[in-house]
Formats: sequence, C-alpha cells, structure tokens
Amino acid sequence: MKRGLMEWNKLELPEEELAGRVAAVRAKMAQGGMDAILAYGDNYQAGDLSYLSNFSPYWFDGMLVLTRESDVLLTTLSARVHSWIKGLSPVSEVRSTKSLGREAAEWLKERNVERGRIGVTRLGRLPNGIYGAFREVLPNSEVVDATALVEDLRVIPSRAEVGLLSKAARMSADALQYAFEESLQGRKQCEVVAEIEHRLRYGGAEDLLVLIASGKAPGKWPAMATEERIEGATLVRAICAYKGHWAEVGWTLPGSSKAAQEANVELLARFEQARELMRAGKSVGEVVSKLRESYGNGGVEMGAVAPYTALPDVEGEWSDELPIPLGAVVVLRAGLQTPEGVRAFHSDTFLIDANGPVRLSASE
Amino acid sequence: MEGNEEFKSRIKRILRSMQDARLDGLVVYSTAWRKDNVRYASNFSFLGPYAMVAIDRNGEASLLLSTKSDVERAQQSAWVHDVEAGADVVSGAVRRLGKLGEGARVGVAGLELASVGIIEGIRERLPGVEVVSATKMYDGVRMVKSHAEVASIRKAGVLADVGFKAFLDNIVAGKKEYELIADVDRVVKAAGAEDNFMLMASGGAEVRAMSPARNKSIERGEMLRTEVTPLYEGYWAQICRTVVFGEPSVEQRRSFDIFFRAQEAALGSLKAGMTAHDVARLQNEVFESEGFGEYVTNKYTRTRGHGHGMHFDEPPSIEEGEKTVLQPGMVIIVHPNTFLPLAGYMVLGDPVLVTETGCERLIATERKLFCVE
Repeated sequence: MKRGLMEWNKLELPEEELAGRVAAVRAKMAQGGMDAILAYGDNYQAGDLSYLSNFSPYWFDGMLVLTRESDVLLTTLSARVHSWIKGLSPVSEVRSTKSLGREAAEWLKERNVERGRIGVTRLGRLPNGIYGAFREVLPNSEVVDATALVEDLRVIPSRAEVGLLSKAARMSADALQYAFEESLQGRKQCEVVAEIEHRLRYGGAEDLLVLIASGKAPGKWPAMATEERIEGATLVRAICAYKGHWAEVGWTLPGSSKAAQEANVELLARFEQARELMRAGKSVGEVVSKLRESYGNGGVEMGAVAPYTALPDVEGEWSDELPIPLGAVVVLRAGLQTPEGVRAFHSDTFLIDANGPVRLSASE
Repeated sequence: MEGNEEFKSRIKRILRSMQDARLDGLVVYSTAWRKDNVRYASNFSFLGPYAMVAIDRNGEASLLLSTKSDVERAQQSAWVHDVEAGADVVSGAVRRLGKLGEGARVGVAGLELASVGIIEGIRERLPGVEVVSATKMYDGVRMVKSHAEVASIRKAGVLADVGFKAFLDNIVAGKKEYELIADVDRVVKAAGAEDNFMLMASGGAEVRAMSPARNKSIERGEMLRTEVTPLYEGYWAQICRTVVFGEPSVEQRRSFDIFFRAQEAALGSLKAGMTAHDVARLQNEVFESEGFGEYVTNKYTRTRGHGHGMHFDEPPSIEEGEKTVLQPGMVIIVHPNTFLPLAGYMVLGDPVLVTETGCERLIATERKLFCVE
C-alpha cells in the first residue's frame, strides 16, 4: 500500500525529463497513427501511469489520457486532493470521476476523437469495467494495445531514472543490512520485517513489499511475514519503490545452519557466474543457465531476469529467448533448494552498461 | 481462524446466492490491490498481479494463481485444495466449471476489476454461456460477518488502538509526516498486522483533506488528523482521530463537539433494520442544526462511513440515498469526517458491529479530541 513519501523532487526528476517522456510517446503516437493513449494504473502497480505523469494512485486507481496536444489525469480520488496531485504531477488537468472509462471517453469526445485510434498500454490488464464503459461512449473508436509503445521507452531508463532506481536499490540493500546487524533467532518474522520496512520508509520509500521466509528444512520461499519465530536460515527479499521507481534486493542469512551456509555459498557462486554473463546482447536463457543447473538430486534451481518495469510483481520475467538490451535495468533472481529441502535465495538490481552489469544497490 | 467449518459455511452461502441468481458457476476474481474476493473464498493471500477461485454448481472450488511460487504456500494453507498456477488461469477456471450447456450462466465476482484479457478469455472458452457480473451478489454474501470473521475484526481493532497510541507517542516537533507514519507502521507491523492503510494531514484550518504522508514537518500548535487501518488475519479495522499538538483553541473544541455529537447521534441509534441512509442522515442533521449543512456535501466530504471486512471500504457506503438495510453481523465504521471552516478538516471514526438492538464499538480508544504537549 502506498503510504510512504510521495513527492516530486525536481532535482531528482526534472520537469524536462517528464516532458521529454510525454513528447517521446507523442512522437510514437504520430508514427503509429494513434490519436490518443490511455495509461491505467492502480494502487498496486502504477506503471506507465506513473512514468508519464509522476502520479501513483495511493488508493484505488487512475488513468492518464494523452492526445497529441493535450492531457488529463483521471482519478477516483476526491477533488479535495487535486492540489496534492498537482504538486506531484505536471499534467494539465486533473478530474475526479467514479467512472474512469466513461470520463476518458467523454473527454476524448470533447476533443473530436470519437472515431480515432486509441492505444491502451497493457490493454490485457485494463479492468473490464473501465473498458466496457469506454466502449459504451466511444463504440466506433479503434482500440489497440499500445504496451510496446511505452515499454520500448521504459526498458532503457534515462540517466534521471537510473538515479532513482539506484536510490531504490541502495535503500533496499541498506534496509536488509539490518537483518545482518541483529541476531534474528527467536524474533518474530513480523518484527524483523517491521524494522526493515521502517528503514525503507525513513529513507523515503514510496511503497514496498518485504518478503521473508525462515526455518529449517523443508524451506520456504519468501512470502508475507507471519508471527512465526525465526529459527534457522532466513531469506529476505526487499522490493522497494522510490519516487515511483522499483528495485529489488534479496539475501539469505544462513545463520548457524551448515546446510544453509553450504546452499548459500553454492547459490552465490552461481549468481556471480550468471552476473558475469549478463551482458548486452546475451539471451536471458544463457545468463540463467548456470542458475538452473541441478544441485544434488531433486533440488530446485531457479533463475530469472526481469525488467524493473515488472516490479512489484514477484515473478515478472523476460522469456529465455530475449537478448538483454544495452542500457536496461533488470533484476536477476536466483533460488536453490538442496535435496534435504534447505533453501537459499538471492536477487539484485543491475544496470546493463557497455562494460557489463553494474550493481545498483552498491552504486554511489 | 479455523478453516473447515468456516469454509463450508461460506461455500453454502455462496451456493445459495448462486441459485438465487440462477448461476451455474462462479468465478471469483481478485487483482493485487483488491485481494479480498479471492481471500474470502480461499483464505489465501496471493502474491503477484491477480488470482481467481472458480466454483462449480456443486460448490467444488479451484484456486487459480498467476504466480507459480504461490502454489506451494497455497497447498499448505489455502482452504481450497485444488491449486494451480500459470499464465492460463482461464483454462483452470473452465475446467472447474465443468460442462456448461447452451444458455448456462456464469457469474464473475469482481468482473469490473477483472482484466479485459481474462473476461474475453472466459467468454471465448464458454461459447453459448452468458457471463455476467456477480459482484453485487458476492458483496451481499460477504456483508454479514460470521462469528469467526468478527473475531478477526476485533483483533484488527486492537491493532488500530495500538496504532493510534503509537501515533500519539511519536508526535515530535520537527518530525516529518512520512517519518511519523513510518513510526506507526513499525509498531503495527511488529504487532502482527499484515498491512496498514494510513492517511494523515497536519496543519491548521486550511487543511481540507488527508493524503499520504508529505515531506512536511509537524509543528507545535498544529492539528493532526489521521486514520490508521491495520489488516489482521485478512480483516481490516479503521480508527480516525484528531490530535491537537498543544492546547486546543476554542474553535477546535467547538468544531470537535459538533463531530462528536454527529457520531454520537448515529451510534446512539444505530441498530439492525436501519438503512445506511438513516445512519448518514443522523450525522448530517447535527451539522445542519449548527448551520454547517453545506459541509456534509460531496464538495467537502466523501462518506459518513463504510463497511469493514476483508476490504476496509466495503459496501455499504454510509451516505444519504444508500438504502442498504443494516443487519446483525455487519461491521461498519461511522465517521462524520469533513471540513468545517471553524478549524479545518476533522476526523472521528469508530468501527462498530451491528446488533439486533444496537451496536458494539470494536476499538477501545476514547472518542475525544486528543492533545499532545
């Protein structure tokens, strides 16, 4: 739930940067013959909405409607928070509505886009109620999936974005450091996560998802904290948003368990090998092949490369065939389970530059 | 919460409602920011962007997850034992719903929030079957809480009290709003809350609404408004309170007195058989009698309260015109939150359990204008 710090720091995210994003989308709209774009976002994942407007709905959902000349941010929040929204976003107009779909369509109708070509980012994930209401008002418009249009821009973050992503990654790593500083044995999972989250929120995290698993074999993968007391190894995964930009860092604290220590050593070695391979042009499959090699009999070995834009989805992944683009920011995830059921997990966020992967959680 | 009996009871009520609505199958959909539908039908809180539960006409259910790593956890803890995950949840739903003839009807609870892709997929794979919204039907099933549910909401209420106390304890001049919320969150989460929805606003009479925390320092002499809404065992409970950082002014006291009397008017009369409209009217009448009728309109306020359960803003909405009849076992929050020109936006909210003869408050925090030195 978004209840961390939401603000627009123009040193970190200059007005020109946001204007440039919108201009780039408008240029692509013109090339693709699109008259308008709808970018929907909700409390869980603001995604393209946040990218283009710097607004993430802290409750319910919202949508940016962009034509080649004008724009409006539609929100289900009350008009009483419009001034707060305008403090965050350079959009020209903010409207409150109970029906995002109908309001978007009416706004476009006012601008004579009734029979236009309307692109919707992540069309497959647009709520059916919004789509239906939109189509009722504009039945003759052509609605197409415009996901690639914005995704192609986002997959190579700008310098300003990399700055924000680095901050998110560093915050995640710093917060997890708490888990190394304290003895966790006997503490409740929820107490440990509360401390990690506190560090993240004090650091300015807008949103976060901290997952944890603990115990002896059979192990578990990190999930929501419970009131269970920590015994044995602890796996912690911090997924954090700083000013709308998400990063992930995940570690294993094996504690005194020899089996967990060995599993973690093996996993970290494989992770490092995968990291070394993670260069522009290499396919995801090549990078994660080492991670997926069997370890003992019947163990689970996992590896994945995900674009940062897929966060906070815990399993947003690129397919194995995809070559990793130069300039992309990605999350490399690895998991391993020994035949005895002891698990280890590791993840981190990297910028793929010309010299190879740069670990953002360790960047200055 | 003990699963078996509670789950059977829920399935029974769902089936009865399905029969009343002439549904041959039900798909319950949840997106990540509204997990409640699926959680109600499965006792499982999923990770990832969405999940579904498909229920056939005999009450047999399948839990369909978008995230593979959820499967193991679901197999260990979900009430639904048939669990699968993958990109193609629709196939799993269609498999569970079984053979449906021409003219059959399938309801989707959460159809409005379900993605276009999912709904189109269901329609394509069930040709000749009418796919309709079952959201209101499902909301109706959930509206009256079982004893087990109320027990969980009571525990969430305890955490709401804990959270508000932490809010009071952590008010320090110069602290930023987002730091204060972080402090409250730490306490509530360490006490076992799965999540906590929280808004606040600090300032004077110019404040018109709460929002997420800002990068603004809290100063002595300001009024702080907050709502703390922890989630525990899948259930939310909210507390809304106003705090003066210093000595309250005459206007603040006068303003709060109106809010208190408005809430008291509702709580004093609230019982099963009243409508949500009635509860709103009782509150609004107090503001009107003070000459502030304008300030209970949409321009200044949202609602006079709302339902609580697995979503903290469930139906019924407590507002004029809302004709839902309150029944024993419903849980609602009564909050006359609004802006008054006397002292700015104020909040006062308490969740209550509706009974045959009245209502029972589910938090213990005093209903007063708090002051912190």
